[in-house]
Order: sequence, then structure tokens, then C-alpha cells
Amino acid sequence: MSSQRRRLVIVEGGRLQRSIQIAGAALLVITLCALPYVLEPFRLGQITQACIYAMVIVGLNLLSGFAGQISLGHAAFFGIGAYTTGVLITSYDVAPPITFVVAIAGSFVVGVVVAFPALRLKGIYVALVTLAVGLIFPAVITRMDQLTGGSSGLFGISYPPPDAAYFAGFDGTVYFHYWLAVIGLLLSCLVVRNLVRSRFGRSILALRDNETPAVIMGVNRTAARTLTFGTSAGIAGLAGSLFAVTTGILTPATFSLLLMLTFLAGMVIGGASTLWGPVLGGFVIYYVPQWATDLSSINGSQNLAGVAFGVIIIVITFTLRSGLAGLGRKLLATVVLVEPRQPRGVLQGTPSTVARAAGPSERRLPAPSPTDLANHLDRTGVGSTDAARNL
Amino acid sequence: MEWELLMTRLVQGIVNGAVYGFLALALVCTYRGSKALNLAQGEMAMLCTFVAWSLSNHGVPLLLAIGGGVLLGAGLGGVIERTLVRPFGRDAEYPVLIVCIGLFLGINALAGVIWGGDPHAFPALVPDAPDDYISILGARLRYQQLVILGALAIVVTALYAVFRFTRLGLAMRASASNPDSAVLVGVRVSRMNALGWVLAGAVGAVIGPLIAPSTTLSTGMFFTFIIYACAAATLGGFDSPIGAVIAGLVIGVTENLIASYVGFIGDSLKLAVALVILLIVLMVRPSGLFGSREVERI
Amino acid sequence: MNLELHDVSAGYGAGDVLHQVSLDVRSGEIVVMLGANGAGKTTLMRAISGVISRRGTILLDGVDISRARADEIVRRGLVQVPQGRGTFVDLTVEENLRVGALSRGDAVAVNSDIDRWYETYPRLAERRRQKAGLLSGGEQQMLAVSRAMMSRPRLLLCDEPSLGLSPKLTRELFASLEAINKEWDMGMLIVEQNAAIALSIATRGYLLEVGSITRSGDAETLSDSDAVRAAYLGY
Repeated sequence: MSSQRRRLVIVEGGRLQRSIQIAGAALLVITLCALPYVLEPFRLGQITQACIYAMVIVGLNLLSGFAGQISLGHAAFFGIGAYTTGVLITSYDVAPPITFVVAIAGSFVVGVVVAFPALRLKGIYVALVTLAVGLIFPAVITRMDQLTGGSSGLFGISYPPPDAAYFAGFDGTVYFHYWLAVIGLLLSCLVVRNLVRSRFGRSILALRDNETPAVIMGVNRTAARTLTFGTSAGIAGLAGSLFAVTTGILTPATFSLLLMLTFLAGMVIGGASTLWGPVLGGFVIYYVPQWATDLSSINGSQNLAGVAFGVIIIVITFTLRSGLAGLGRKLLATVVLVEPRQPRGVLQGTPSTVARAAGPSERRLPAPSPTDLANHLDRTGVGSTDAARNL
Repeated sequence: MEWELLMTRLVQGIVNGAVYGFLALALVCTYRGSKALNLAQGEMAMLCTFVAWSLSNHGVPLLLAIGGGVLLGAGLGGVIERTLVRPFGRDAEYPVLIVCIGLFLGINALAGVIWGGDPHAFPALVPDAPDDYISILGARLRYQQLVILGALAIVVTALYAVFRFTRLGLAMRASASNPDSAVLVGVRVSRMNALGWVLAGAVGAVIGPLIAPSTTLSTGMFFTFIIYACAAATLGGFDSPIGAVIAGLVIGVTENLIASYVGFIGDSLKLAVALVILLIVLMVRPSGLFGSREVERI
Repeated sequence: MNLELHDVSAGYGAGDVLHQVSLDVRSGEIVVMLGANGAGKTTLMRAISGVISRRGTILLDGVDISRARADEIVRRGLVQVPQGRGTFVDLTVEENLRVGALSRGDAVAVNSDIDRWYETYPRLAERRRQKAGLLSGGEQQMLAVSRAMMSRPRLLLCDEPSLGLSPKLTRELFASLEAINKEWDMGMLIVEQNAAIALSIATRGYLLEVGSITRSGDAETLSDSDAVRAAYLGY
């Protein structure tokens, strides 16, 4: 069934895959460098914000997608990071990079603390805990108005770019913010990717798929859950810091129930527990409302985006559990087949079997169908080598 | 004076709590069958309230317009259960939650598209001028508030009677208690679940017209109420309708008294009080005060 | 009322658990289905009661119920006492009994039926207003049987009734079942691991192994059968 269509075969870990990956990375870097020259500052600013949203969703996905703990309150960590940076810069004149570190640390700690009530609960109760925490945040911010400017907002948060010709002038600041966001996003993706592929990552997936056996087999559930929460929160916190310095103004009304649900929507649309899905999702939830406003000037056009979101989320839950990224992967699988590397090592059998096993071009194992592969990777996380070995 | 102030705050708390309990009742109705946390309950209620408002604007007598909204709510609940919840089967709490979130965003936005984002005035069922109140133990109970309390009392009593004394109510309770066994005694469990959603939709649609005269009609009107309802349903126990109502009243009174008498809380942290209660319940006794089922714990 | 199964297969998802099972229960007979854990006994019960989808033909008094819904099957008089009792733990004892009668239409007779079962099992009467979850295992088993009987069944399915019961309670339970069979001429299909006691009240029996019927015959023959002994005791 899989040999009916001619497809390009790429062996995992083989030279072709490596070259494609390097070419892809190079292309990405070139595009990123070129964008400031190609796009006008306004558009660049939009990309900056979209990257920031994507960062939050990358963090959210670590928790809700990979670790399977729905977080309805993630906008709160976003806000904690934002306000930490905002307050430190405006009231205490702290250098912005330091505020970023403090914001990440602060969000991480709060994330760990929030993880505790959620530790032993399941299902909707976890969602409720995160919802409660998430909503306490704007209330607290409003109340602490001495520090935070309350509901009227916090102004004048800025991060002046370093002294270099590239960053000169108004445009230079835009470029600077753009690079901050892009680097932040790439960093977050890297952190999540490495975390998921590590032993730690596998223990999180084990907990998600089958909790009791995982605990019995020695996975430290407390450590795994709290660290995941913390890391997820920390990433959102960094995103918040960047949000603060790139927009310059903060109000508690931004971090509302609507924003929390929108982030979750972004994760679902982009594709939970995938690597590129959250990034896609972030861009979708940023740009769709913008386009809706651009396209029509009817009163309430923003709301059309909301309707679209609602419908899309529901449709995706029914059809495409793995979101747009999953769809992309399935489409790709019709033309490209990524084949697991042949297992090397001692094999029972004739010497000829052993000799031939090393060659990537000859298939000894039956090729898995693309949907199996996609589903398997879907469940076990991107690039999990266990998945490959089990086929 | 002190006494009157306390009574006024108490009464206000009870009235608020009645609304929380009302909405929590709807949440419990959808949870019992489908194990679904329907975050979109408030938005559904808001939609029905707007429809009732539109009907009333076109000359339909207010009571009938509200009835129309209730019918819509019931129908909407049934349709949603049949098409969007039932296909997921059992043990699908997360996907259903996501669907409800989708409904939340979608319905909210839809209402914005149809009626715009501005607040509107909703006609009151009873005279609502500042003079229209009765005095109870020194507190002023406005007619509108009396209607809210009355409506809640009627609905709760009716539901209680149905659940306790009718065969249908028994069938619904059996479905919620043990769906597998219920199937084996000939109960159509899927129909019972659908009924839960229909009831929830209808109950929600009653709340909107009751509170709209004082809170004004707008697409965001239920945002805080749904949160209070979640807190009340958690405190009372997600499988106990009576618990949800009592918990709602408790939360209403508690938050109001704390906000009035504990200085630094003030108004902006009122919601935080309910949220803290929610957190404490989840940490100490997740099944709530009246919930009978043990929440899954390891 | 008699029950016939012809080539019934069923499973959950990818693989089948039951493979073309054929059996019959004639009016008034007690038929026993023996089998070890994992043989597919509960799957068989679920298939007959219409809880899971199944292929093949199931006839109840000649009427094809293979595609019928679970509640229709109950209304036709085929009622199951599920494995583990299936008690409604949040409802009271009396409510549990009333639930059993939900598929019936006649209100007055329901009350007299309830009284009748209280007479048969006085312990249930004592606890009528208690939550059923508080009852002991044996009491819950009495409740489960009474609840099934409240539906006025014409053929009873029992899924591992002895599960979790002490030997004494098991004996009492099977004596009860035998009494019901005699009083109402009620056919029964009893699925059991406890071969000895099941066969003692049965007319005929089958042996289910890994989803297929491997042996059938009347109760005495099966009791002495090597196959049954091998299946249970391994020698």
C-alpha cells in the first residue's frame, strides 16, 4: 500500500536529511536577516508581536500539548513576565536584560508553585486550577496600583537598542525589537525541543500517556510536573518581558479570560504536541484578527475573526487533532517518506543479513505507512527515537 | 445604621450568590452526563438574552420574548450535545473542553457581529426605580432582586421535584451515577445526557433577562459570572445540583462581606476571593461539599 | 422465551474477542458458560445485551435482535445482571429497585413487586433508605438480582455472579437463582468461572476459550469432562 505511489525516500539521520536540514536552517537565517530590509517597519512590528505570541504558545504547548495538562491561565505567566519587566524598568531603572532574567525566574517560580495544587488532580479540575490562578493575576495587578499603575496602566517601558549603525533611529529600534523577538522564539523552540527529546521529556510523555505505570517505574511525578510547569511558565514570562518592551504600555485588561482562551485556541489550531505547530498557531491568532480588520470596515470585523477561531477550533478537534502542523506533515508524507535508520548492531541470522542491514538504501523492515508514522510521532512527540525503534 | 448596612450587604450577597448558583446549576447539568465543563454556558445564555431583547424590541411582550430565549437555549443545548459532544464518547474531557472553548470564542464573537459591542438597556420585568423596594430587617430588597430570588427558588424546587419524584428524574440520576448499569436496565443514557444539556441551556437563558436590567446587556456580561459559577460548582460538587446552588449563595455572601469588611480587598479583588475559595476547595476536597463521587486521584 | 446465537463475533476496535459463537438457551433452561479470564465471557454478555456492536445473528423467541438497541432488548425481556453487581451507589436501595422497573409502564405493580422482593430478601428491606454503596458485597448481589427481576424479564443473563463473594454467599446466591428459575420457569445464561457450583444448578453448559466455543454438553458430562478440568486446573 505504501509502495504504490512514488515518493522521495529520506533516511532519518542520513546524509540527505542532514543536507535538507542544513539548507532549511540556512534559508531561515537568510530570510530572517532579509526581512528588515524587505518589509516596512509596521509590518516588521507585526511579525515581532506574532513571534511573541508564538513564544507563549510554545511554552503553553510544552505543558498542555506534550505534558497533557491543560492550562487555561497561561496569559497570567505572560503578564507576570510583562509586569516584572515593566515595573523594574520604569520604577527601579533596572537594565532590561536583567529584568528579563528576573521575569523568567519569577514566572518559573510561580509556575512551580501553581503546579502543586494541580499535581494530584485530573481532568477538568486541573483546568479549573489554572483558570483560577490565571484570573487572580489581573485582579492583583489592578489592586497593587501603587506599583503597577493599576487599571490605568503602566507606561514608558523601553529598551533602547545598543549603539550601532544598524540600530540607529526609529527604524533601528524596530529592528532591535524584531531581533529580540525572533531570537527569543528560536531560543524557546530550542529549549522545548531539547527538553522533549531528553530523558526528562520521555518521562513527561510517559506520565501523560499512562500515569500509574510511569510512576511505578520510577518517574518522579512531582519533579516532572513542577519542572514542566515552571519551564512552560518561564518561556511565557520571557515572552511577556518582550511584550512589555516592544509595546511600551501594559494594562491588566490585556491579560483577560479572552486572551487565555485565545492562546489555547492558538495551540489547538497550530497543532498541540508538535514543534512547529505552536509557532504557526501564534502567527494565526495574531494575524487573523488583523486581516479581519484590514479586509472589511464593518463594525465588529474583529469579531469575525473570533467566529472563525471558534469554528476552526471545533472543526480541528473533530478532524485534525494535530492541527495545522499535523495537516502539513500529512501532506508532506504523501510526497516524502522519512524512513527510520536501519538498526545497527548484532542481528540474529546470516552474516549477509548483518552486512546488508547497514545499508540505508535497502529496506529490511516493512516500510510503515505515512499515517502510522505520523500518528506515532504525534503521540510520542517529535523526533522521539523510541518511536523509530519500535516500528 | 451598622445593622442596616450589614443586612444590605448580606442581601446583596445573597442576590449575587443566587445568580452564581443559577449558572452553576447549568454547569452541573451538563457535567453530570457528559463529564463536560461547559465554559461556553455563559455565552450561550448571553446569546439567548440578546435574542429575547431583539424579540422584545420588535414588539413581542417581554415575558414571551424571554420564553423565546429559553426555548432557544434549550434547543441550542440539545443541538450542541448531539453534534459536538456526544461523538466524542466517554473519557473525552479535554477534547470536549476545547470544543466548549471554541464555542465560547465563537458565540461571543457572533454576538458581537450581530449586535455590536455596545451595551444596551434591557427592559425590566418589574418596576425598577430607586423607590421600588421592600424592606426586610432593615435591608432594601428591590423588586428586581426579589424576582431573581423567586425565579431561582422556583427553578430549584421544580428541578428537585423532578429529580426526586419522577421516573425521568430517577433515570437521569441513574445515568449520571452509573451509565453502564443504566444502559442495562433499559435507560437511554444518551437521551438523558442530551436532556441535561437542554436543561442547562434553558436555565442559562433564564438568568440573562433577570440580571440584564441591572448589569446592562453586552457581549461580555457573563465573563465574570461564568467564573463565579465554576467556583460555585466546584465548591458544591459538580454532580450535585443542590450543592451548586448552596455553594453559589455561600460564595456570594462571603465575597461581599469580605470585600466590605476587609479593607485591602476592596472591589477589585472581589473575584479573587471566589477564586481563592475555588483553589482551596480543589486542594482540600476536590469533590466539593456535596459531591458524592471521588475525584480521580492517585 | 428462548435465545439463539448464530456465529456471533464482537470485539473492541481492531481485533475481535469473540469468534463466531453459536449457542442457545431454551425456555426454562439454566445454561452455563464456562471460561477462564480473558476468554471473552463479559464481551459475550455485552454483545447479547446490545451494549457493543456485534456481527452475526441473535434471536430472541425468533425475533432478530442483532441490530437492536440496548434499551429495546431490555424491553423485550432479556435482562442482564452485570459483572460486579453494577449497583447505583449514589441511589438508595429502594431507588435501585425502582430503576430496575424503569422500562415498565405499570406503576401499581411496581410497588407490589418491590414488596415481594423485600419479603424474599429482608436485609434489603431493612436498608431500603440507605445509599446502596454502603451495602456489603452479598447484599449488593441480592440487590442486583432483585433489580434485574424488577424489569419482569423473561430470560436472565448473569455475568460472573460469584465474583467477590465468599463460598457461603455464593451458595446462597446460586440457590436463589435456582429458585427463581423454578418459580418463573425463567431461562438463564450464567457466565461463571466457578465451574463446580455453576454446573450444579445448570441443565447444559458451554466452554468458551479465547473467544470460541470449544465444548458443549449437558451439565453432568461437562462436570466430568477432562477439557473443563484442563481449562481450569491445567491438568
